Amino acid sequence: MIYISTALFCEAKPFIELLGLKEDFSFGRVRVFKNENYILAVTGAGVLTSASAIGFVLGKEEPRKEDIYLNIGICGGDEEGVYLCNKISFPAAEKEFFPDLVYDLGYPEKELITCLKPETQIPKDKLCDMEGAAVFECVKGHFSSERCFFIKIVSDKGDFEVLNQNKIYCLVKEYAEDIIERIKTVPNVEAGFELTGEMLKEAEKLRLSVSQTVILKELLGFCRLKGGEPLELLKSLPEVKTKAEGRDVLEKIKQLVL
Amino acid sequence: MFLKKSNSLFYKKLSHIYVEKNIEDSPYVKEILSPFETSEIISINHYKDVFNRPGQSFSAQKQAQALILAENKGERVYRGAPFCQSFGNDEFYYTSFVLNCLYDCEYCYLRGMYPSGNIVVFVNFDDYFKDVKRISENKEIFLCVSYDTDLLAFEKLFGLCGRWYDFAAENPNAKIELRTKCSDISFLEGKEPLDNFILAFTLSPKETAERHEKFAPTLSSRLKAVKKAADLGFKVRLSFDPVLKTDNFEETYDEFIRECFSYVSPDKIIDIGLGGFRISPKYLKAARKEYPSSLILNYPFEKKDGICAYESKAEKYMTDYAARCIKKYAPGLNLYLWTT
Repeated sequence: MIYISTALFCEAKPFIELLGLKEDFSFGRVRVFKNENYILAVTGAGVLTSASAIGFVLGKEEPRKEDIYLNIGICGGDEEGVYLCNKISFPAAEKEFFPDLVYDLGYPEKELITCLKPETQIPKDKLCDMEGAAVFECVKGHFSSERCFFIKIVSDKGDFEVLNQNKIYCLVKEYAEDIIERIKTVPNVEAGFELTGEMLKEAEKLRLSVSQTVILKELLGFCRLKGGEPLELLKSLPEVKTKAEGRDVLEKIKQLVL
Repeated sequence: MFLKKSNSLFYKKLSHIYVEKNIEDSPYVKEILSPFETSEIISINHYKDVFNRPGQSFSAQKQAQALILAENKGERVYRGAPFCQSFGNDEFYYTSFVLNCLYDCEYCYLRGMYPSGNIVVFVNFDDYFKDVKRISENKEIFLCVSYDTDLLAFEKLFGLCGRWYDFAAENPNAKIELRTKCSDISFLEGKEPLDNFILAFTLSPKETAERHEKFAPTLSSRLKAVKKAADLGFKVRLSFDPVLKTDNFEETYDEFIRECFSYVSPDKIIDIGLGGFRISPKYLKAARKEYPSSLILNYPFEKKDGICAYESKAEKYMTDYAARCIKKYAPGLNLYLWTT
């Protein structure tokens, strides 16, 4: 699943259209749009609003190891273009955050400064927004750090009064497809071995304790890595009537696997 | 309007360098940074703001290692860990200027020890040297300086082994061991051998080195370096550690140890360390999570006295066998055996 957050609906709209997302009304006051691969939240502008909206969404959804988080939005900056944030400063709280830079999306990088109100004076070579630091603080720990991306599109040089919803929509739309295509290149993560329902059913017949079941999982995982079939192995075991017999069978599995 | 995306999924190693603000003006930091003109330099308050971020993936970061330059204000010299061999030295310590390694060995405990795969270099060397001087003021100590990294692999970038050599030359009470898999020992050129400076080469069978020691030099390159260092008169230790279960174990280890001593005469080696694979349960759990398809790490080890290792019978068989091979090809050589 790829999670996306934007502050404004006009920033979200190009992605909703591009990805064919449908509104999910079960998130109450937070506008959320989904399909089977994407979940997009419109958080509202500002640190408090965006933090509470993301907190609400992540309280309801449970991100998995392989999920990706994408924060996209417009920002102030001295050069137009799309940027990946390599540092997010939050002067109001004297905090600094560092997005983990492992996957090369090919975008130029800049530091983002999150401000409490729209900034008219943009420091040289920096970007200014009103949500980045809050979003980072909310998503850290929920996602693998290298799978979180903070992508900002420069919309103004501090003269934000020239902006309107349509201009923002058109600007984000210009980059939306390219951003999604690049995010799709992020490789999936390797999944660990888990006992399937069928394996668990077979394992129950062995009358093992909790700690013995942990050992069994380890042995079956190793069996799979060596090219064996853990389920077949479980099915081939003799019937177990007592816990002592279970212990013997576990020892037998060990011998077979090693 | 759009930038072309590079073909690589990952950033290049050291493409990002984080520097603590308080050391930005240090001449050594400037020197380190000079070859990295194209890297992004990012200013940070404390190395842990980057190194200890929650939810990092060691395995992913190892593909695109960033460099973090920092000052170590905490403890710098530690007592030797019980997992490690002291080679008969009572006063056993270790220290590290660097956290993490350029090599990526499948069995390495660092995979489970650190929250990050990025590399930290502590640049306040003088503080380290003062600490070691203080500890060794009235006694001889054995100090390993390349445990949580491979210091020699970084020598072209940071020149840290040369610093330890110079320190050893002036501080005979500190017996320094530099453990490495690196085959480039050019830092020794023009230097005199010292009684208290030991080069300890970690060697593995050819197949193990090729399959499980990513980015590390081949066995034959390492053996050439062993021979060169020994011929120059430097104190050389060999470390056959960890001994791993392999297919055709007997044949593999017999051939490996025979090959080692066909390169270098045993009388030019001070001793050998030999030990079965072992790791703390905590590190093993973290490493398995990062590397779920590693056959080495996902072996169903036995937990003995707080250490995960091969089952006692197998471990004893393997280390005894390797020890017999050493006796066969290098009779009389001091052997330090580590078993659980």
